[in-house]
Amino acid sequence: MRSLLRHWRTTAFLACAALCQTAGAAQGNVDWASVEKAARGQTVYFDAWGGDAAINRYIAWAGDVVQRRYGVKLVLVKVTDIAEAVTRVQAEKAAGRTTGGSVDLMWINGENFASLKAADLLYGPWADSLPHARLLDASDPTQRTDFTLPTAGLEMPWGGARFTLFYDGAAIKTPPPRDPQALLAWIRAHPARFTYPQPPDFIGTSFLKQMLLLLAADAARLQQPVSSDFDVVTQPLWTWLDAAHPHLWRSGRAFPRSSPEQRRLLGDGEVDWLLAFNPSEAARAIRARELPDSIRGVHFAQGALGNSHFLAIPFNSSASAAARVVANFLLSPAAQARKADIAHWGDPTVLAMAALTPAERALFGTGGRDAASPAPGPLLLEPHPSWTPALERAWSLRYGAR
Amino acid sequence: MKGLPIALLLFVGVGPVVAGFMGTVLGGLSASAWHELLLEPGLPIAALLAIGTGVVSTLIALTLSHVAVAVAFSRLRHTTLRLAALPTLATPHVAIAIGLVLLLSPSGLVLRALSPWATGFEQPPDWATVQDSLGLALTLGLIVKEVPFLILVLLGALSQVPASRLVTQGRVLGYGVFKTWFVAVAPLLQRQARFATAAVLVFGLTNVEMSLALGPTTPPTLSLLVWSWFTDANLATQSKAYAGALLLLLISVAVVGLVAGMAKSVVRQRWQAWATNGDRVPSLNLDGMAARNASRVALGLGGAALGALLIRSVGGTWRFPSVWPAQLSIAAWTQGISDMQRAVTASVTVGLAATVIAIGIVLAVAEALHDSPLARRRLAVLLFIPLVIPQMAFLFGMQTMLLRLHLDGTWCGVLWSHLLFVLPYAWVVLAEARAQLSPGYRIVSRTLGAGPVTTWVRILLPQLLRSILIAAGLCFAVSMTLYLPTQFAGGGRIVTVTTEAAVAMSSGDLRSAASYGVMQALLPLAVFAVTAGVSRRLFTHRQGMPT
Repeated sequence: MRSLLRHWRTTAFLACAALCQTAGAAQGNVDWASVEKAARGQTVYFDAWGGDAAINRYIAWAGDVVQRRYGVKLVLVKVTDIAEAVTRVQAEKAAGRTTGGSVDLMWINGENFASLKAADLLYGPWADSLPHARLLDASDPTQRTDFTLPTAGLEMPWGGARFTLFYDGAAIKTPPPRDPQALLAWIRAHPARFTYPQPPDFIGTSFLKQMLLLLAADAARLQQPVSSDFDVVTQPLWTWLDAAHPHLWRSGRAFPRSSPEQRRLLGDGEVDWLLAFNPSEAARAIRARELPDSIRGVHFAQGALGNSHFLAIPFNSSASAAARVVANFLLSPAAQARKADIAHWGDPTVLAMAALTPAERALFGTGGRDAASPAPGPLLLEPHPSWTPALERAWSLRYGAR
Repeated sequence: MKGLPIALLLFVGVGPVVAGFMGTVLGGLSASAWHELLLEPGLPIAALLAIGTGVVSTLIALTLSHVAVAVAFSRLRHTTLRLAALPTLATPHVAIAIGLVLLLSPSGLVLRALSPWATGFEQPPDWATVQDSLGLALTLGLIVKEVPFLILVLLGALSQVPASRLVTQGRVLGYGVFKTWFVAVAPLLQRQARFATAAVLVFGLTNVEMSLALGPTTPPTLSLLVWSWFTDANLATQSKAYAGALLLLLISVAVVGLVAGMAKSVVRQRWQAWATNGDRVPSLNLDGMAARNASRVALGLGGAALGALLIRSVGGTWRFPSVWPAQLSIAAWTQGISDMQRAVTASVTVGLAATVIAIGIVLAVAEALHDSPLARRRLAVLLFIPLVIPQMAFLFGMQTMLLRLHLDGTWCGVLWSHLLFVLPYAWVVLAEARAQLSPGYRIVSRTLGAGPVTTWVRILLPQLLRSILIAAGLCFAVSMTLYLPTQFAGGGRIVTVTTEAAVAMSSGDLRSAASYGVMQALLPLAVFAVTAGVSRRLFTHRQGMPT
């Protein structure tokens, strides 16, 4: 525990240092025309979670456009977990490869960003100097801080996410539970119909954080690093889980390994709930005929855990100019509008509508909501990243081996 | 001149394993890493689960395989058995595991077929038919996947055992088919198949793919724990992962040693007592019948899992208890057609190159060592190291080696990593085949004035051709199934059908996963068909060629 703390203190120190540095660099004028010139002919290896055919098609579309427009070749490197790419960059650093790295652009956030930032493995700051960066939504706190760590221009916001619960409207006809006590009552009344992905799965751990934010006596405490009061702060969460677990799917003795696995369980009718980070997840899955059209989404009334996901460039990329050109294109109103469209991906935009021209705003459609996605509600910020491993470890001590 | 091919074989087939293993030892030899590892909640249960599922599945699979081979032998049905084993053998572990989930889980095909008319279930029951905490489903999955492999190994070893003579003698003495087989033939066959059995045992102890789909989760098997630490972005977890890989290696070595030791002592004594007790009771045949049906079930389950996968690849939403998907769509097959083409191209080129290179090197070495059985045995032990130690114990270190050589993420790097696993299979088939050729042919040919090259090409090669074709089919099939080696050496840049299947599986996109899984099975089957066709064409009018 102590070494963990030290680790995060170092991180915080580095973060401050990087922030001071950015203040200078962001003002520096980047000659964008020369960046585009340097980018021409370069190949960008883009490491991203590749498990969703719709997202892969969207990136392929972006690849076609940047090839045509900027002469940049975009190659999607699909990974099952972006941590694979993070460990690869770490291994390259250990092997002394400071140029010609295997990753040019990566899709990350949270603890993966924290790891790379702490080990000084990121190129930049670069994100604030992109021409399209001025369109970003400055009022969205999740775009400047990634799990409480300042992004410091080392990564570019790409999309937004809100922790969403989806339920089967054909099985739950009354208004769904929207606070922890109501959810617990529902779980008790419907044995074996609720579950969540097993931490340390990303969605599973996010569920723990969402519940802790709702249940903790002082939620603001979670914005600070973990310390000796961990047991006291998290006690309400364990009380809730202890009460819920006997009534979960498989009596809480087995869990789905991932949110997609839980999606299959929901689709096949083994459970009535699905947890996910993209509010349009069900709308897209219904279009893809992975889920029946009776699925509905809901946020906790008190607020949904929210964050942004980002693009970053590793320190040893040899195509950083082209990587920035690709990132800038992905931030353009046209690319962001296509990304937000559930016919293509359905990922919420990071742009401020007020910063767009009327013609650009029109690209985003009329803003009509599909039946499966919940109405936007209050936002709960991610806890400090040190809570993630601490919660995962505590969960695994309590429930991981029985 | 003799040393050159041997040096090449050692460099290609053993070098990276040694380098990779050193990397793991260096990474895992820290007190704090072991401290962290031993504090891991559920570690003893995870280790016991790995040992239990690995040992039990290997013992059952081995028994069933012997029974199946005994029956096929007594009825002269080798070819039928070989054909029955091929589909499951060619289908990768991930695909079989997912197919079994689709079949056996509470919302799986079996319960759908029985619901609601027989069971009364309108909703899937909350039964742990997969991912049960004892690892029974995982054990079943391992049996289903390993029986075909062991059957083919045993069938291949039959030619090196005087099975017909032994069976006849046993029958003449009044013993039943099964006792004859298990007392007289099986021990000799097992001697030939001991490396393959060890490989099966270690795979059972250390596999990631099957326990991911079928194994328990609280806690999972040890290999899955180690795997999740290796893929953690936190650097502190990495050294725990190296220590975990070493622990996995220690457990594997200990278990293999223990099993081998027991086979030599306790089992041998029991066997000898059984062989000499003169007991000829026919009831033993009944036990044999049960085992025979079990081996049929094991082979059938593999095919059924493949079928379940196929249905899922074209199915849309599919609520319990419908036996058939509500909508059918071939979107998974058509939408990703360009990705599929790219993956198939990479799989086929790497597979063919690995096959050709492995066979080439092994033929050269087999020629050099055809009259030194001791050297062949020692070389076999070295070559089998990658198969009998956990892949995780050296793949991470090997990745660093490729990185330093600037071969990571390249086609050549992937090819090299595949050769590690393909070479031992090529060796098993070809080295013995070459050694068993009668030396007379070569002597006569040389006496008649032919040079060594001419002799080899015109006299020896045709006699080896059938073995070469068998080796080619086997090597290509092995290359197709490799997931971890491809992922580590290719770094995601080299995309094969197997890595695509894993990515789709991890995201729950069962439809594309199933389409890739089916393709993974089809490619090696196509190669088997081609080699069988060539073999038939070449040998139809030639009698007395070695088989």
